[in-house]
Amino acid sequence: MLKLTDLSIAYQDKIVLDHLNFTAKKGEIIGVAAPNGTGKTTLFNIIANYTKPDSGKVLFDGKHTYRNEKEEVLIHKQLTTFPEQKDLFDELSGTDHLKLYASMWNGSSKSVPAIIDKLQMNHYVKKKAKTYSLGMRQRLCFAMMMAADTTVMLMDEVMNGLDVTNVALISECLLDMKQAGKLVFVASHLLENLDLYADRVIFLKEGKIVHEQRFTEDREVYLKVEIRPVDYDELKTKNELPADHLYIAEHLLCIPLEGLTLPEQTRWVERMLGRFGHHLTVGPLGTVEYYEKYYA
Amino acid sequence: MRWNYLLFETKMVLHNRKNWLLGIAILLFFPIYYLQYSQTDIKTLQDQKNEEAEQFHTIFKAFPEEMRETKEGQEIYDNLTEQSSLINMQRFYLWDEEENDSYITDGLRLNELRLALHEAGNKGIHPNYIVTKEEIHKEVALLNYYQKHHVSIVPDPFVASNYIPAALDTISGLPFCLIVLLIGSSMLLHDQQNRSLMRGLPVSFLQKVFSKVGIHLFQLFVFLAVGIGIGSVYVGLKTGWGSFTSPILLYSGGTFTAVSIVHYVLLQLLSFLLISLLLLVTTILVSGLTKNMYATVLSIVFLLLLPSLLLSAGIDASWLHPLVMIDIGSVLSGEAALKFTSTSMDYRRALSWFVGLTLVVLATLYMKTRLQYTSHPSGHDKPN
Repeated sequence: MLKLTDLSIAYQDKIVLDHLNFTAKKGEIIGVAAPNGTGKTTLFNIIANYTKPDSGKVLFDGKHTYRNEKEEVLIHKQLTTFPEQKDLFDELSGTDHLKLYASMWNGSSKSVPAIIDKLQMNHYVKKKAKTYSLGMRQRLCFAMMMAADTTVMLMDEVMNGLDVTNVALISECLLDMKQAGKLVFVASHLLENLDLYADRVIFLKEGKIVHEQRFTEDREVYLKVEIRPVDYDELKTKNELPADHLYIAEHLLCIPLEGLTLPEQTRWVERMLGRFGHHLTVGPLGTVEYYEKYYA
Repeated sequence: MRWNYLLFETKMVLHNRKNWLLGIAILLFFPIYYLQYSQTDIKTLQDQKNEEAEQFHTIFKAFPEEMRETKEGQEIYDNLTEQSSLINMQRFYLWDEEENDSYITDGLRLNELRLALHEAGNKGIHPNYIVTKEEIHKEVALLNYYQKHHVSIVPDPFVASNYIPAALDTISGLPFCLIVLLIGSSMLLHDQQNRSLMRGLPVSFLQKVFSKVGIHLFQLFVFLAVGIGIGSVYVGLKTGWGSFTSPILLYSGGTFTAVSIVHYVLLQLLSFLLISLLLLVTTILVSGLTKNMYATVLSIVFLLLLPSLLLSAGIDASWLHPLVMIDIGSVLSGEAALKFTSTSMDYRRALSWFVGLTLVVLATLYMKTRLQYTSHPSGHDKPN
């Protein structure tokens, strides 16, 4: 569906993307995790051709690329990017915005009432956008993406300004989109939330994908303990920690259980329970933990 | 998609308060300008003929006696005598509408005599009193029109039919261009200010341009049509409707022809349409470069004023004549041709230039869009 090949871009001396390669297919939600200024938005802008890369190309459906405007329009018929709240038209109502996106991409606005119901926007959608709160505007932006209903959606900071209820509501809609075979890229700071619906989360650092976390495959299980650096140093001197253990962000020790025999695993669990029991968990690493690993 | 985009642009235009204000200004111009126009001292046909008759006293007085002794001199003198007589008869005929035909016949003869004097070199006549060939052709054109269409030769200049072309001539040139530029200046505004919403729409740039230009052109002409309507009704009820088949002089191909007022007004409107089209596409081109509506308007106005500025500085700016013709009122009336001493500055040339320049600007926009996909960008962000 979407193939990024050898994408590179630099602003003056700062390399934002460095020979980045990536492939995604329909029916996937791909989370993009990275701190601000590490190239998430640039990546989305390049996928949508709002920004030209210094090298590399974006390929849709194995044939379309941004060779000319005709192809760009063809690609944009299948792709939408998440609007920024500040760019909503103050003088237009939410319904006007939804009708614009629905009609521009689908030629009809029949789907708009259902979207309004689904996102519980009935009480404000007919008012002018200038009267909306941050959360209302964000929901409207998401509703516009739903109205466009394109195969590929690029959602940058989709959960910004949303309360817990609305985060849950939008997460549910994202899962529906996945079911409908959409390819959705989500850049969000709500990392735990990404674990709920993403099939993969990619971590960008220094212009490259430093890690790709796949939720659809078997993942390595760790014994995870919250410990202070002093305790970690002490533990290291007294015990021989497995070579591939992780000590993330100077607070989380992760010991991989794979490769250890059952008695060894039991011994480590007992040892940890004895000293740090109330902070011990067993399971694969989550997006938050990987994030801390790469960026803390 | 195009239709939906057009509908959206229409909605945006309807929400544009600045354009509504300009629209109200256009609507009010037509009735308000009449207050000033009706106070203007317009020379009637009677005044003109009286003045011409008065001049003959001086012409005869100044005619050299010794010339009358030559055959050629005597012929010129006889010519002038006949002219004087014809003018006086015309003054008499103007009192009675039944005598229109006689007025016309005498008028045509009068101008034949004037032309004959020109052929004879206007010897013995003081230069101040020579009727120029241009004036002769103008009068002949009008007389022929009266003869052919049997319309009143003494029109009231303050009736609606005569007021509308005069009002349109008044706004033509810089005032009209400013209105178009101000209306069109915000065409790309929401594409720039609401960028993340607008830039991904699956519509090509030229389709956007055509939609924006089309809808702004439509809005402008609705304002203009309603303004003309209000002006006509106001003047029509106040002083009368007049006749839209009355003649008016039109400069074309180095000479003057008389055409009906309807013909003239339609030409004015066609010119306005083409000028608006040219200015709107130019606005889009310049906006793409300046990214600022005020800078766009100012730079285009500067460009339009450039020929006059260069002319006043004594610099030859004949290559800028196409821009001068934006003042279509002076082109249709022949003033521009006279001012810039160029017989080619007529409405046909002007309209061709407007169409040609519009095509050039559109081709530039097309090439600019194409180049975005072929050239390596100096900056990364793609312009709108």
